[in-house]
Amino acid sequence: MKNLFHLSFLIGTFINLPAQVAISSNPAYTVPAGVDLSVDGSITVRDKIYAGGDGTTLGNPGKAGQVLVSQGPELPPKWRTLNIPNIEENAFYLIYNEPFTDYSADGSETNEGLSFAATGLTDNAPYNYDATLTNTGFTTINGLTKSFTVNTTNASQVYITFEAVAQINNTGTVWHGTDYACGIFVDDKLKSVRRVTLQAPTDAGGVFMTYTQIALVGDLGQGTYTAKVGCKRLLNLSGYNSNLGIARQVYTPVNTNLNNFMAKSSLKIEVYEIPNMDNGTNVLDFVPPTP
Amino acid sequence: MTLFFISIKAQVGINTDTPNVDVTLDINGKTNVGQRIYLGGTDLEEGNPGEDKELIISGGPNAEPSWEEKKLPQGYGQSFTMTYMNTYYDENGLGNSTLPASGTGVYTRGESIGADWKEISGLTNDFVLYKTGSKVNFMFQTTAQLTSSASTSVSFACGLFIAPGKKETATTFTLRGVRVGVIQGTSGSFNIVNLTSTLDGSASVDNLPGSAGGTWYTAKIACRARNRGASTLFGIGTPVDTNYLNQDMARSSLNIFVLEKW
Repeated sequence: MKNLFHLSFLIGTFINLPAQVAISSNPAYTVPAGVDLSVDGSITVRDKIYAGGDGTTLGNPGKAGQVLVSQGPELPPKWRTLNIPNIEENAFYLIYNEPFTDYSADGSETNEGLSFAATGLTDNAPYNYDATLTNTGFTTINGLTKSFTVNTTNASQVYITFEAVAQINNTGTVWHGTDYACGIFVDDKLKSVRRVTLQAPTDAGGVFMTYTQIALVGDLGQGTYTAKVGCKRLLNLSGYNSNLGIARQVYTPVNTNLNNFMAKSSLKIEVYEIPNMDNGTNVLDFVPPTP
Repeated sequence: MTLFFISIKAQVGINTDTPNVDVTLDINGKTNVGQRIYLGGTDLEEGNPGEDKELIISGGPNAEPSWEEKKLPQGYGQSFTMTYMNTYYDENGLGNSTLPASGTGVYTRGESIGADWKEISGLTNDFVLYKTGSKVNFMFQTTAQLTSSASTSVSFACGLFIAPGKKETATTFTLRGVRVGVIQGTSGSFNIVNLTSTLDGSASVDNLPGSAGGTWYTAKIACRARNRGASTLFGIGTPVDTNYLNQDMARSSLNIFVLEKW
């Protein structure tokens, strides 16, 4: 048996139910204390949900994409914007971004750097892409050996930027200098190499230069990788036979022209990915990792 | 068993005499829903009760809300998140008269800014940190130029200085990063100056704590000539021989970005 109450009113009229209202098929159902409308079952909302408002001011329907969020027992729920990236298909996003310095320990001011004694080496051989660290004979700046992860199974781009000051210990001889090369390695394979000449065009001592190198590595694929920076002293010029420093001062008298702070190096790793959202994490399950 | 089906074809106000005219049901009070919330639907088809861990997402003022899943890409938050980024330009630079030779000594981290360091004023700006352990990255670039009657070299230094407080009130600037540079050549020779510096807010040496309400710091770039050689004129961020450079080519820029931990 079905009892159908069908109440019809003219447009502009309304029903006011001033007391607590219960909607239930159970005659014994009582409205919980403090609640104005209690539905003993499910509800359907076919159109918009307005939060807040009153008889004259419409509540807030939210902006498209906002989330209905509780403000606790004392306040009505509110539409709020989730502070998460809106991921679009086929667009690159900066997923990992971390800068490092070559301190020998956290909080230390001692840089690793490299100091090369004169070797008389006359190495003129070129270096090839993907050459191994061992084969190049480069010495790594251990403080800049850092791991990073590519998460996506889609395309990715990794930018690695290295900056340091290089100095020679020339004193009073014009054109004293040396060649050197620095490389950026990913999993001990050479991804970027620059060969540089550092030479004194005058007799001023302790000649130095700032050296910036960028490696761009595409589509490494999903996995964890290790970035390393390595350098090697090459050909000596005009009979120069003293030290070369990379991210270290080597001029004597010590600390008169540069000090190690002024020469320190830095490494920045940026991983851009086209995220694979099939493997994404529900925001409610997201556990922030400890960097 | 009695099944009641009540259909109310009018506006309904709960606990109000004046339900808002734009809505069908106006509840002036708290609502208790014992079961599911279905969104959408028709007379014949039930609405969508949502899947586990879906959220009610607004469709804006012109469309209905819906249950949706919000996802984060894999790897998100594993590093630092960029919370602040801004770029500043300076069109004035430091002209010849502001750059006397100040000697080729060394500079130490944490030393106070002295009279020999000349501020590139258009680059002085503040930034805010909300957490301790943030990394703050600075990229500065400018062009320096000399004039002289013969080939010569000029060496100079540019430093990054930080002081606590907003730009208007910051006073105690100390050195946090520095690069030295040199220009060699004939009159009109110039060179690009780069300074990239990353400060680690948690390291005792950098010491840039943040706070929930935001802690402000001000960054300043200041330069000085070290050895002027035989130069007649020397400028940083401004041309001293406009046959080779103009102000647009010599201008200075500073990019500040803050990376914060979760």
